[in-house]
Amino acid sequence: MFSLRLAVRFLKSGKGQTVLIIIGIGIAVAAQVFIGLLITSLQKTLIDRTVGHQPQITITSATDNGLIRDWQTITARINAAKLVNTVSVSASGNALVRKGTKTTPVIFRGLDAQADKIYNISSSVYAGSWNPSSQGILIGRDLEQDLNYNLGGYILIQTPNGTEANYRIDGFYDLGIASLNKTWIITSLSTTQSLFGYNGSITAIEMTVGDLFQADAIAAHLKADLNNNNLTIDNWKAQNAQLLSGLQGQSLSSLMIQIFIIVSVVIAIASILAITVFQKSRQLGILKAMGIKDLAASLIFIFEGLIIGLAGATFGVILGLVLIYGFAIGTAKPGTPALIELFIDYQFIAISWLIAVAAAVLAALIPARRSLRLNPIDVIREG
Amino acid sequence: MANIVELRQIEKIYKGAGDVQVLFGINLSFEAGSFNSIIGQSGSGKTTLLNIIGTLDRPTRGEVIIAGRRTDKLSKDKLAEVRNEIIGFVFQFHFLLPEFTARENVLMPYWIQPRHPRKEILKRFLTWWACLNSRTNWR
Repeated sequence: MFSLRLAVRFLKSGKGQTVLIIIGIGIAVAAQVFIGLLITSLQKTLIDRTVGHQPQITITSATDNGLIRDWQTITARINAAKLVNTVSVSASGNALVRKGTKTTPVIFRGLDAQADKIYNISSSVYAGSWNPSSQGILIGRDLEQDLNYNLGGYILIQTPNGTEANYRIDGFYDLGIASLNKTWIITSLSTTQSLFGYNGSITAIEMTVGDLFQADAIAAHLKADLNNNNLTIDNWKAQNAQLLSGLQGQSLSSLMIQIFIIVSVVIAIASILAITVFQKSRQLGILKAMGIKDLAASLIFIFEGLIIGLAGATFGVILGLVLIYGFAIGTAKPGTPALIELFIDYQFIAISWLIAVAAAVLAALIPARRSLRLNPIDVIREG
Repeated sequence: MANIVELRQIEKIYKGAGDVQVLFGINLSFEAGSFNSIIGQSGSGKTTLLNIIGTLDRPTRGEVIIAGRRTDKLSKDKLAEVRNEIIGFVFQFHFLLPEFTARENVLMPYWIQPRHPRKEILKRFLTWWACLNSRTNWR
């Protein structure tokens, strides 16, 4: 391909200029990839840490006593719909912990084995162990420290209607959230049911979904499917509208930055290639005198755009990945959770690469058009 | 011999603030294989005439026939083909492509097409090339 050969020669003849423009595009693409991946990773990390380890859809009772009686039928139906990852039932109630003269309000949480998939209880237990069928209980780090309990010791629980019972402490957990560590007493479903006299009923069905952002749609689907006025179906998106709008604002500003970067790349390439047409006008004039056709002459610049676009975009993607990995490694502190958990979105990277290449070719159209207007006689006349 | 170039009633007027007519009804023909010179005073229109013969410029009026084809009405691309296949230029200034070697500059019209030079042409080229190379260090 003659035009391609010419494009390569023209680029090689101005090596310094070519390398500079490739570095320029590379830095712009690297900035785009870095910002895009950083924001995505930050958001994923934030969402994962805030709602990843809690139920994303919760079904509670709309009745006065707050109990769900026919929960086996409901969970069977939910499981059959195959819309959610985990379905866990819980029976909870407010209670008081009494130690000496001190009373502390707590939530007595009876959970089934599935709850482990939502709350990661077994990996949060730092002393003792969790057995979802045990009659014993788990208490959180903050409550342990406040009231100074020992593993294997007993804890006195009092319900609002006056029932009192002692429970053995099977273990201590740390869910990473102080309010939970202070107020949740985790035990088995049957323990809570018998303490509060729920008579086999539960208080909530908790679920996690595959795609967090589909939680509202899945919740709506379940609502229609269950069609039960005695149930309230809630999802994390509805409960965290402010967090969501904050994230959307962040995404939008990231998008704006990326658009500005692309626009500057296009303008930079177009102006540099336009200068190339001017620089090479003598050569173009000679080639036209020797019979190069307009299309072939324009293609020289399109190929130049394509070559620098490919080189710049590839360099940029590599540089962007180096930067984001460098950022993740550089900000990591031993012993604390990473600032961000890297989420490398290959589709985003591929799209960024493709946009940069397309932008380079598009920018090359301007000088390509200019080359059409070049008349060999003008070049020859001027010497 | 047949005419390779024929000009009929060629006029050339440069349009501008005041129109300037350079060529006035030129009738001219060149035989194939002949060697011709155009001599004239500075500003008499030699370059204009050569540009029209070389199809780099179009006459305002008149007909240009090159190798039996009328070229004054051809499209830009067709003219490019005529220049590439029939016409060879030796410019007043040495117009070479600095990005290419001397040999590549010589072969450039073939690359534009693209096609390979005929065997006898290539042979002649290589003979000349060897001759030049014995005196220079061209690549």
